[in-house]
Amino acid sequence: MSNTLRSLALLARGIGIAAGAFAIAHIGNLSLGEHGLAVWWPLNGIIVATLMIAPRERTARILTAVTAGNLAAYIYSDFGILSGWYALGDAAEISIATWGLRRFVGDRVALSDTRHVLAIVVTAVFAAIPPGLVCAVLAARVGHHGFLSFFRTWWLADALGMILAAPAVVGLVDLFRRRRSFATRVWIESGLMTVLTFAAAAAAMSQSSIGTMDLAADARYLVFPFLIWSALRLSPQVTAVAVMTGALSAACIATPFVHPVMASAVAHMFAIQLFLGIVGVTALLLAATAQGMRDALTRVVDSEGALRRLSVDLDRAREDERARISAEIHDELGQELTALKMEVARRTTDDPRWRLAVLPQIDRTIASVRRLATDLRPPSLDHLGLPAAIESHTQQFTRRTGIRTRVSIGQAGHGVKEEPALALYRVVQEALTNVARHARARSVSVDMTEDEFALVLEIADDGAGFDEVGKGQGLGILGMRERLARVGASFAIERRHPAGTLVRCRLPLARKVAA
Amino acid sequence: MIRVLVADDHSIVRRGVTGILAAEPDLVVCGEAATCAEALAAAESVDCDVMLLDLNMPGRGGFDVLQEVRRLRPSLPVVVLSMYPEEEFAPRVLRAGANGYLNKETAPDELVRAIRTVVSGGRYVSQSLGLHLAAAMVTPRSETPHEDLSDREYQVFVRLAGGSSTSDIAVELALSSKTVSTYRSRVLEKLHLRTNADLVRYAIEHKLVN
Repeated sequence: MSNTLRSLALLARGIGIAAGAFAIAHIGNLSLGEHGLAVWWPLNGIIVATLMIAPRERTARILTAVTAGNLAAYIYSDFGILSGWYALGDAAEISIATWGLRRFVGDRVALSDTRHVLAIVVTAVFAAIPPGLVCAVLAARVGHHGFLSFFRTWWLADALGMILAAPAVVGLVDLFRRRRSFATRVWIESGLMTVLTFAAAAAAMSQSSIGTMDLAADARYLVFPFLIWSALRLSPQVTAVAVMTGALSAACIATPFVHPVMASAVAHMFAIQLFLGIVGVTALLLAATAQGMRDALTRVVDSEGALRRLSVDLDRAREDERARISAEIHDELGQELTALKMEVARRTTDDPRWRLAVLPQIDRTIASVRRLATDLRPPSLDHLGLPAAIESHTQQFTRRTGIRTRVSIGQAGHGVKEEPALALYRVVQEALTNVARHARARSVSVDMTEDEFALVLEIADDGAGFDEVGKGQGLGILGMRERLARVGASFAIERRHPAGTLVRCRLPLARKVAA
Repeated sequence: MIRVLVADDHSIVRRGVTGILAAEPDLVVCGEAATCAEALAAAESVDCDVMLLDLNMPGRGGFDVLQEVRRLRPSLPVVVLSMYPEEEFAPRVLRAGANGYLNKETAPDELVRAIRTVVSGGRYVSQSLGLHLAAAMVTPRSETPHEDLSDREYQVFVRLAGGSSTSDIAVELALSSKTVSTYRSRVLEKLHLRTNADLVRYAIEHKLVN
């Protein structure tokens, strides 16, 4: 029972589709008689889009229903023996286009992809050629038309119809499926776009003859700025629907009433169709490209944020790890060695071999353990504060490299919290390392002052200047900048005259404002 | 008999210290502490003649303990024992009120001497630190101390010597007046001068201004 019902429902749907196709084709044929192209030229495009959207297994059924409707319309419009061939030609064209599109883009057309848009254009242009040729030969044989004029009519109308109609249907279904609610701006802009395309197309069709200067007709070119505007600002789907709807509705409504019996009606309509086709393709390609760039930009911004978070995490983890290892070395290894030395010293007071060989060796071990721990995390930073830590680091730097340091710090930065203090300390370390490695400097000046608003740290050398140094420094500078940004400090590096580099950091200080 | 209070969070270090002191007949460990809180409590309650204090103990940190002990028992001599670099920490520890500073690994040689020195009212630094401090003091005063001025100090110095006011300099160098004043006092200190007139004279003597 339910099987019968399902069959009946299927049949009803098929008849519905056929009736729809018949209606569109018939109205078209009626309205322009022999040149009955005005309304049904987008029909094949609508059907191709429907086939692309519907599940594959329904292709044959839909195609059959449509062909039946088309055949009826051709017969009804007195095409006689040619009706069957024409209906068959339409079916072939639709099949070729659908097959081609599926090959290019798979089962789903994405208007945000320029390759898909180009695929629609290419398949539309080529799908209409073979059936157009066959039908033109037949029509010429019967003497209905000249071969060339028939082929031109068939091919141009169907190709352009498909280019305009298919994206409109795909875009509309896309929007409907996503059920997105749009901002007022989108409604206004897409509405404006639809109206303007419609107006431009209608203006073109009211043109009295091709090739004369006509203000109303040339006003159609006004459509381009608005087209570009909405293609760049709206999604490809919205653009497709707005532009195509405007173009198609103008063509469908205006054509039948404007020049129904004009001698040049067909040529006239080709010009309009071509214009609308160019408008449509331009809008689609622009919108897809803009969407691609927007997507790429979003991805870049996202990944930049992710990288920054990652670098912050890594950096923090590294500092924590260093502090932990340093403490471990100090507390465990250092104390054990100290106790060992006390014990050895106590028991070997009289033995010169131990005093001269073993004890100094233990001393050296302790010294290197201490150096290791200090390099990882200077104890002076935690116990004596930032100014003392920087001062002692510059002294070590001078001892190690022979580069003179001129330091002016005083007590500036003594009360700075742990994280910013560590950041500034690491910047001093990094800057001095760069000076030693690249600058060929004779002296370095380190200035730090603090006023009501900010702590300012300046490190200046008289060396080569930073653009003459190797690439490796780039990462160091990036690291300093990131590190400081995290604690709310700014960072600048500049070339000095006549020579040298100046690194400047500014840490804003939050002070209680006296009431 | 000298009674010693040992504050260090590592029992092996306390044991080592005790071992060293045990070899001396007149020294005895009278108490031990492993945290800052214990150290403070012991300093207040235990009857002792000298305190050995580690800088890095669990709790508030050695500097706080040192200052608190100074407040609680101003007359108790304190020798700081630490793993940290002597040159960096010793001057500050002594300034904070300690009577002596020892690096832990030098303890076997110098611990006993240090304790005796501070108990008898003196101050103790290791031989190497003593040499370092002495060297710093006897270094002949440079003929041209202005060469040690930092860039900013030098800029401020030259302008002051040239007759500019603090606020003019602040505008010219895009610094705050307070910052310029800070640099001015650092310059005076580095050049061992007292007034702006001294600055001008110094600058003329060294041909730093016209």
